[in-house]
Amino acid sequence: MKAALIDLGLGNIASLHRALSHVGFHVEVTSEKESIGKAHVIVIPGVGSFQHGVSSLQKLGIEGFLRDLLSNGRPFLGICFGLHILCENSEESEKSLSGLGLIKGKVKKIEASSDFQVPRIGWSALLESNHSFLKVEPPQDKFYYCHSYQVEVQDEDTMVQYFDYDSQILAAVRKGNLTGFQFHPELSQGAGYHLLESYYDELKRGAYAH
Amino acid sequence: MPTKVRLIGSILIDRGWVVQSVGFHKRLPIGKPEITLRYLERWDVDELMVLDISRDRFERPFQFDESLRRWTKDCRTPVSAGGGILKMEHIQSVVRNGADRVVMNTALWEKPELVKEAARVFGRQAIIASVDLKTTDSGKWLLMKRSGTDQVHETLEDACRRLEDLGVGEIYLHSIDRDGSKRGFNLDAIHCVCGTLSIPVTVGGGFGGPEHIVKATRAGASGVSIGNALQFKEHSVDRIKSKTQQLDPELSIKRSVRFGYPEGEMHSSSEGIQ
Repeated sequence: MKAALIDLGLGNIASLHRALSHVGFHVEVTSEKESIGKAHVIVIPGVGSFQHGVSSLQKLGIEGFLRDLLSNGRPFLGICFGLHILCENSEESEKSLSGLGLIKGKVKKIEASSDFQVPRIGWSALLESNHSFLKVEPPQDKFYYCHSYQVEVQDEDTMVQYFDYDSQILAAVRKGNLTGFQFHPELSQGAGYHLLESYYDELKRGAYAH
Repeated sequence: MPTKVRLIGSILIDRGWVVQSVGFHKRLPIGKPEITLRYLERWDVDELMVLDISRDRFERPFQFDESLRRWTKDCRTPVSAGGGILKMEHIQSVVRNGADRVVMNTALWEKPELVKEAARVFGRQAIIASVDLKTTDSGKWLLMKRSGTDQVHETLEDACRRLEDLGVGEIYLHSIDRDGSKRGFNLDAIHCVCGTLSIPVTVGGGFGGPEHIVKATRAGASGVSIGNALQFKEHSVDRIKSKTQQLDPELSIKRSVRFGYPEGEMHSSSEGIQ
């Protein structure tokens, strides 16, 4: 199965490339519409500030193309920035730059204090509830996060899952063909790789067939 | 909410070779970076830090490209890298060759505009300010740059506030005089910095036992860097984490249920290392 990994030129995508390949994807690093159009899954990595990520996408001329592809059911995996870009807009940008608007939600700055440092950096398990859509096995597995902004979803069709250490911070979203992680599975050692393997298996079984 | 701590396995590189350092003076060769990083990862560190301390790193062309890529090619753990970063091209090189976050020290004073721009482009979470602190015999704190050879005339508090405003995402407070001494971290300095800031603070230089981790977190640190103490000892990370947890059961520490090997095999922690 082919994964198109979009390179925004803003950071380390080697880890994600390696992780996706390892679990079975044939990974192509690309920003060409033709290649992206042929992929089974589109992946946007977690690199850079929101503003630069959005302007990189715009400079590549693929923003609208991606929006169409994704709203028509193409499977998508977004990590950190890749999750944020699904939303409508963000406070992070200096001008009012908007995301793809595929999920009704906002990207908001996490409030810092000397007791609650921001950026949030560390490892956390995910909160299990009746609404959990990610099967984390074992449930104590922890994932690495490194971010200053969080996503707030106001979309009834989106499933959400929170971090165990702070139930106010969203860890993962799923809306049909769209999957977003606030944490970095490619940097979460065995736990992260295991999660990506499950994701690969789900796709293989046709969970998001389009 | 639980108090958490991250354990950062740090390696120092001198001309492509991992070295152990004592007080920023003695440098003892250890081995190849890719091997050391692989072991640190297997032993369940939470992050990896790779710092180039070669004395000629400011003069020669930047070398963190193919080398860093080779050393980190099997990593599944967050990597911070630095050493001699003074230009945007250096930062680009570091992040395109395996680093998730960049570490800067000398640039914090010599190129503050670079630090600001880097935070704007890469996001503040990608920028770590490494502050080297030397305690004089009379107990005075001096901030240093260029591997501790050049003094900076700014107090610790002023520097940290300025760096937070500049946009760095984390302060890595490193004690030059305690480096390699095993006598513990500079707790007063940690208190001072943590009281002033709302960005995370990690500490390094002086680790000698799990009690040092407990004390550092109680002073406000969210992570500890361990370098010298992890060399030559198998399972040391696991032992350190286990003992730290015993000393402070309320402290939240990542304990991997499984280790991910570079070759793709998944083993549970009970099987240990072969």
